Amino acid sequence: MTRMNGLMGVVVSSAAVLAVVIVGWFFFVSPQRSKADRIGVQADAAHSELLSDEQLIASAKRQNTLGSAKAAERALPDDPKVSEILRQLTGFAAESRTELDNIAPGTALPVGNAQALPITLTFKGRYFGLQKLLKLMRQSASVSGNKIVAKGRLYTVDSITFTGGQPAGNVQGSSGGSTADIQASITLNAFVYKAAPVVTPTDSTTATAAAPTN
Amino acid sequence: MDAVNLLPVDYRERKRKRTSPTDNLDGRTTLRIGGAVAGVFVVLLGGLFYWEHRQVQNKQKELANSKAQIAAVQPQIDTIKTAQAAISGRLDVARTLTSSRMNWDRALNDFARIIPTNSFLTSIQMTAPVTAAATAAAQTAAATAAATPTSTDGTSEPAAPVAAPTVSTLTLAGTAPSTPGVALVMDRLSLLPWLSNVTLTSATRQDQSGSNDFNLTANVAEAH
Repeated sequence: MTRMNGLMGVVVSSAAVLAVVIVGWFFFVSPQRSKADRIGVQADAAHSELLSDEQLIASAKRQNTLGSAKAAERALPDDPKVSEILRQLTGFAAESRTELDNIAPGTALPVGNAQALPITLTFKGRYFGLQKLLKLMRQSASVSGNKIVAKGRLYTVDSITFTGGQPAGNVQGSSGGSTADIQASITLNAFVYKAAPVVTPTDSTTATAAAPTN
Repeated sequence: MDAVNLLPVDYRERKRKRTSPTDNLDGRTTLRIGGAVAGVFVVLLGGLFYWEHRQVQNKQKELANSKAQIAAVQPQIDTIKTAQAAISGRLDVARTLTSSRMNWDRALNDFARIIPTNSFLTSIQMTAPVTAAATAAAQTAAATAAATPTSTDGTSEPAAPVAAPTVSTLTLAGTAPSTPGVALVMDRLSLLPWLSNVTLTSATRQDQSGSNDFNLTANVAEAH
C-alpha cells in the first residue's frame, strides 16, 4: 500500500506540474507573447512611418517644396485666371515703358497636360521697349534644374508682327535705338495646367483651330 | 535435477525483495514535493506572464505614441504630398514648353545689331516643334486610326503617320532697298550662331519705291 502511494504521488505530482506548465504557458504566457510580438510589429511599422514622415518633412523644408509648389501653380494655374494675366501684362508694359493698346484672348487649345490660351497683344512703344517687354515675359516663369522659378505666368511667344509706325530693322539699325515709336502685334500663349480632353473623330474644330506655338 | 540454493537465508530473503526508488517514498511527501515544484512553476510562469504583459503595455504605449506623432505630422505630410503632386506634373509641362521657347529678347537684340540700317523687318514668326496644332493633329490621327474601317480582307488599314516638325522654324518678313539688300540681310542673318539654313521664300520688287519685300525662313538651334 505504501509503495503504491509513493508511485501514485510521483505520477500525480508530475501530472500536476505538467498541467500547470501547459495551462500557464498556452493560456497565459504564450498569448501575451504573441500579442506583444504583434503590437511590436505594428509599433515598428508606425515608427518607420514616423521616421519616413520626418525625413519627408525635413527634405521638403530643405528643398522648399511648398514654395516650389506655389511657384509652379503661379506659372501654370488650374484656371485660366485671365484677370491675373491682364494685371501682369499691364505691369510688364509699365516696366518696359510701352503701351498696351489691345489684349484679345483666344480659345484654349490642349497641349499635352496643359491648355494653351492664345492671346493677341497689340502694343505701341520703342523697339527696345518691346525687347524688354519680351524679356519680362520670358523671365516671368522658367525652369531651373528641377524647379519652376516663377514670378508670374508662363508665357511663350509665337509671333511678332510690326503693324505700323516705323519698321523694326530701320529703327533698331539707327544708332542702337530710336526715338520713334513702333506698333507691333504679339501672339503669345499663357498656359493652364489641365489634362487634355480626348478629341473625337467628329470634333474637327479642335483639330483645325489656330495653333499656338512655343 | 533440482537446483539447490546455497545462499545464506538472510541474503536469500533480501535478494527476493528487489527495491525500487519509489519504495522509500512516502505518498504525502511526494505530493508535497510535487506541489512545491508546481508552485515554483506557477511563480515562474506568473513572472513570465507579468513580464510579457509589461512588454505588451510598453509596446502599446510606444505604438500609441508613434500614432499620435504620425497624426500630428499628417497635415504637413498631406500638404507636402499635394505640393509634390502639383510640382511634378507642372514641371514636365513647363520643361517641355520652356525647352522649345524662343528667346525673343535676345533675338530682337541680335536683329538690331546685324540688320542693315536701310532694311527692316515687318514680321517675325516662330514655329516650335511642340505645338497645340501638332498635338491636336496627333490626337486626330490617333482617333482616325481607331475609327478606320476594315478592308474587305478584314485587316484595318493604318493611317499615314503625322509628320511632326523636329526643329523650330523662324519666318521673317521685311523690306530691303534692293535685291542685293535682301542678300545682305540673308548673309547677316547667317552670322547668328542660333540661326541656320537661312532660306529665301520670296523677294518681290515694289513698283513705286523700287524696294524689295522679302520673306525668309531659318532654323532655330535648340539651345537658343
